[in-house]
Amino acid sequence: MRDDHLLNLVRMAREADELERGMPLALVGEVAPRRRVWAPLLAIASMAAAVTLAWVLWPAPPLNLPSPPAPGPIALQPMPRTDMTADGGARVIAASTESTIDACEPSGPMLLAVFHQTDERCDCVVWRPGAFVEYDIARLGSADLIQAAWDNRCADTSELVLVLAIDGPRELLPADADAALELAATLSIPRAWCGEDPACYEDSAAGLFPSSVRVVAETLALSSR
Amino acid sequence: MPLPTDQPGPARDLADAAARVARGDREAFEVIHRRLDPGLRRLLARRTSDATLIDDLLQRTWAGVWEACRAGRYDPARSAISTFVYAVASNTWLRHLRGIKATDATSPDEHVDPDDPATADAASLAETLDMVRQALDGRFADLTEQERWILRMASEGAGDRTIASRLGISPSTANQAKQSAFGKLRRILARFGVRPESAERRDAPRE
Repeated sequence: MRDDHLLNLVRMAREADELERGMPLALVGEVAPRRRVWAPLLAIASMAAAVTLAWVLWPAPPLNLPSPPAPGPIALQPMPRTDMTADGGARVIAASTESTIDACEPSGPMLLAVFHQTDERCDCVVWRPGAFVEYDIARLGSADLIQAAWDNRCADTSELVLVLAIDGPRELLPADADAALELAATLSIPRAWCGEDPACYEDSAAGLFPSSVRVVAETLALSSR
Repeated sequence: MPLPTDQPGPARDLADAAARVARGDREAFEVIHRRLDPGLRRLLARRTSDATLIDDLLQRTWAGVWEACRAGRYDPARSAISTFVYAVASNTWLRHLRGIKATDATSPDEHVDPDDPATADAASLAETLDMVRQALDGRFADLTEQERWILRMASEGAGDRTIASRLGISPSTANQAKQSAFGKLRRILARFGVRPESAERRDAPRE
């Protein structure tokens, strides 16, 4: 067997090893819904309010309330890299998406994925609060992060995807699209020297938050080889 | 080669699931798919940036794994299911490259080497890769820790000079150590009957 064949086998064996090691964590059991002791009281109060409202409004036509936006990932795009600063362009773009933000978005570890183009531009940013709810982000594997970003991807031709899971006190985490966009912009700055090194991005992010906020990063390079 | 008895929990869970897939258990197949698909996507993303192609390759890979398991072409006693899935994906990728080549007559025939063990059928390839994995993990006393490190470095494209500088030895000594590692790995593979140059392995049906 030739030397290059042996080396190819070694490389493939290492990739197979990586495939096994990169298995996402299995969620241990089903997550029980949180007990809400106030739920029965709220139901009674809601019924009372509905009766009162009907009495007051009768025989007026029923209210036509707009339905709340469906919760889910918020994709902010397109966004030139040059606009990705903590002021100016990023805010303007984020403002246009404010109407899609549900104030009742779940709290908990959030997903922030930044999709970069080859020419240093940023394709788009995905921000999903509560994406890793019920998970300890320290136990998330790289495959979990990549999968989460991939499932919520906002671009198909990116060269590099920077994926972050961020957890901590709610008041310290990005609370809206503006803040998420600013964070994405700031975290993208070290790309020049971080390249594809997730630990480098983690270090950068750690400097942006108090110690009570934890950040786990992963990158996915999509360049052809 | 039988699987090592001290597999970690997740690998053992996968082995159990693989055995159930052979009996037509779709839920077990979903377990394997759920656990390995993200990593497989990541590996394929290193070869192509075409997201649609990656989805297509994954689809074909998993269809191949399912058919192989149902047809009894995957033997849990010969290789880990993760290695087998990887081997099927590798063959799927090679077939894709051949397809491109077939439509482009000007392209040189550079992707297929009949003596290359990487072109073997998936079951044989997985078995070979599992042996190499075990060799790199130090399960065989033949390879020293330094030789395993050299093999890993060389597989990443490191030349003798790079290896030498990391080890603080001369390039010629690094080359000798590398050749020694190659020889030991060849002997390990031969000990377990891996002769990739044999006709029956080349002619075996591909997954």
